[in-house]
Amino acid sequence: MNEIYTFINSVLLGTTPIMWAALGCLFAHRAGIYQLGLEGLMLIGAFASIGGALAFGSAWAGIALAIAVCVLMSALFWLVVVILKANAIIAGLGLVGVGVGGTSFLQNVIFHTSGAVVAKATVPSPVPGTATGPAAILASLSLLVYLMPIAAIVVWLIARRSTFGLRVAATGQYPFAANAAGVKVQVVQLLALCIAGAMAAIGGSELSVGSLHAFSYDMTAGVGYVAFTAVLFGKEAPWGVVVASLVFGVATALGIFGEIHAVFGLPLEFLQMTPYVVTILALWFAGWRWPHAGNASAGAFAELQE
Amino acid sequence: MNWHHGVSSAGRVLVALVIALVLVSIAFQTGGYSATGTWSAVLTGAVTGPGSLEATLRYALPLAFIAIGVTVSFRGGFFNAGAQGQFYAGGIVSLYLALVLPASMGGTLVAFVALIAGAFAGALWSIIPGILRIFFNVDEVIGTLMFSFIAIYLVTYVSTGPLKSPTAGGQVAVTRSVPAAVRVTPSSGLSVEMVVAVLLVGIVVWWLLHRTRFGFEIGLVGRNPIMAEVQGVEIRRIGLATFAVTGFTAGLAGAVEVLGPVGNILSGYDPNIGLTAILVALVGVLAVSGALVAAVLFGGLTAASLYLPLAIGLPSTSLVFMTGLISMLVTARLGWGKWPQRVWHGGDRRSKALHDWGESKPLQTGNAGTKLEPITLDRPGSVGSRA
Repeated sequence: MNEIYTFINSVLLGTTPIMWAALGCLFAHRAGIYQLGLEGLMLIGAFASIGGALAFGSAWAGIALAIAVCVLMSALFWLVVVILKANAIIAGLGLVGVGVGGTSFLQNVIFHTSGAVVAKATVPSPVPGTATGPAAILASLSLLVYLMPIAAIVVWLIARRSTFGLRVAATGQYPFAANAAGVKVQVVQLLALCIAGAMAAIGGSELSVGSLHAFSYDMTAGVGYVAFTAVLFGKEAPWGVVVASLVFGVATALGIFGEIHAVFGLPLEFLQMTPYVVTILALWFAGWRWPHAGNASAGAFAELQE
Repeated sequence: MNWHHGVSSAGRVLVALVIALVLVSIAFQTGGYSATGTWSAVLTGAVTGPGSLEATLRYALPLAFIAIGVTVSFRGGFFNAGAQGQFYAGGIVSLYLALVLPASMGGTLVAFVALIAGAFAGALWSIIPGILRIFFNVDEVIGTLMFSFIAIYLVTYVSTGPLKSPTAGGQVAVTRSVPAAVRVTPSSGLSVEMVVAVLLVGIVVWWLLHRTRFGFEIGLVGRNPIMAEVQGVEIRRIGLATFAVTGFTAGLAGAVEVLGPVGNILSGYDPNIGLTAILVALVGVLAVSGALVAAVLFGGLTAASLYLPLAIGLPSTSLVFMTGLISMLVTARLGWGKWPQRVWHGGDRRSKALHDWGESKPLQTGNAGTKLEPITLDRPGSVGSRA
């Protein structure tokens, strides 16, 4: 039975950063901007939250700092992509480089180490730590895990049941019509990117001050790309993204499960590939036509064209 | 791409480089490292120091190989972002062959076979996401990136598993070393043969791009896939070929690295070459000659990045920060030029419009009715300015 609890634990740990980042990135995609820099933003968020937590002695202050920094970076990304009309894919890969190199540089400048930076203050769990049995696993999870369903509902409300959400979708689907209807297309894109940045920051914080309690060089290791894919896989619909994130969370947990228990005698490395293989398969399935494909912004990619 | 187009793109790239340099200098200065001191250290590490120029060319070599291939893909509008994985695939296969082929074959022959096999392995590693992109509509940026991650675990697997060196101690697992007779370069990483090889690849690709029907069709597909399809270009064939060429050169680069200066594969071996090589191709304004020049520039930066920790204690990864900044700015419209377009996919609204509009059959590049989408929309900004 313990193994089942451990597995559920790893599913939740794997899903949380992906879902936070993917739910935010959803807005960027719906507004018609391919935010591939998510990986870099998560890394920056992970680093800033550790830095803030160490400086202010509170994980929440760390997360606030992470959100501020990532919103700023998203605004810069908006400047480059929307105003200066750079190619979003290349600029996104560049943002990943800025995240990897920048955090590594600051890690050396601030903490004088290229190894791990250990968090002193971490996100608490709502379940008291004295619990035993299955509840002990609940107690080991950070509050950000428990906030995940609330975030999903709020994102659904904003994306599908609010004027702003409608404007975002209109911007992504047909910017001419949106513009003609009086939507300030570029402002909506800025807001969408900033929401994506803020939620990527929370996802990154979950990795550093939430679950691993440390920061190390390039610690996201592709989680940002997986979250990006979750948005594509989820057809840019909030509940689709939730399901996609869960699928990737299970894939991650399977990889971890394989590290502990030898499965089919396969070498460890092959099991660790699971999330990446599942990502590719997911994109393949996403190309299929679901009966209710949601309000996906099909014309979104046109935005990036010159 | 006519000559003044090339010049204007080069001007734009220079502006991006200068802005990135200024921003990085500010970051270094605020981080407590003197900007002038840093750049003079970069100059020492890349050009003026003892053996620096050699190191610059040594790091330019793999970058040039990959960037030449990436140029082909990007000209065709396919964003092959997985050079790192293709590099690993080439390295692993060439190392394996260098270790298992009998020495009686002669070192030169073994090296030749291993290099070619490595290049083909890279091509295979590239063409799988290529097939997924072209026949199953799996976005090639994500597909190639995921294949890179898979390749990283393959590297860990071979260095800790089948090819593991039984003698090497220490904390990091490493494979057995390539026999000295099979090495294509001395440990400095430079040899006449390899410089000739990179020039040869450059000339062949230039000839392909500018003097053959294939190259012409790549240009057509990159500029306007719908037009190309209407004109009778087989987009699928062209797409697969560009994926293969990119993978081939990236695999060759991996093979040259492993059979040359590196000589084995370390667990967690990361030359950080994928993004840099894409950047080399873009800074080289997607021309073969430009890629060669830009490769020397970024080779110099790589050489310097290894010198910086020793000279002024700056982590070598901080230059990734700079390449990232350049990458963010290099395609920005800072006044001049235009880049070839990406073949976008998804949605069928406008493909249907195209279908209604002409006799041309809708582009059938995906399964279940997903088609290449003709892009005729302008940006929202220009709408506002027109209104």
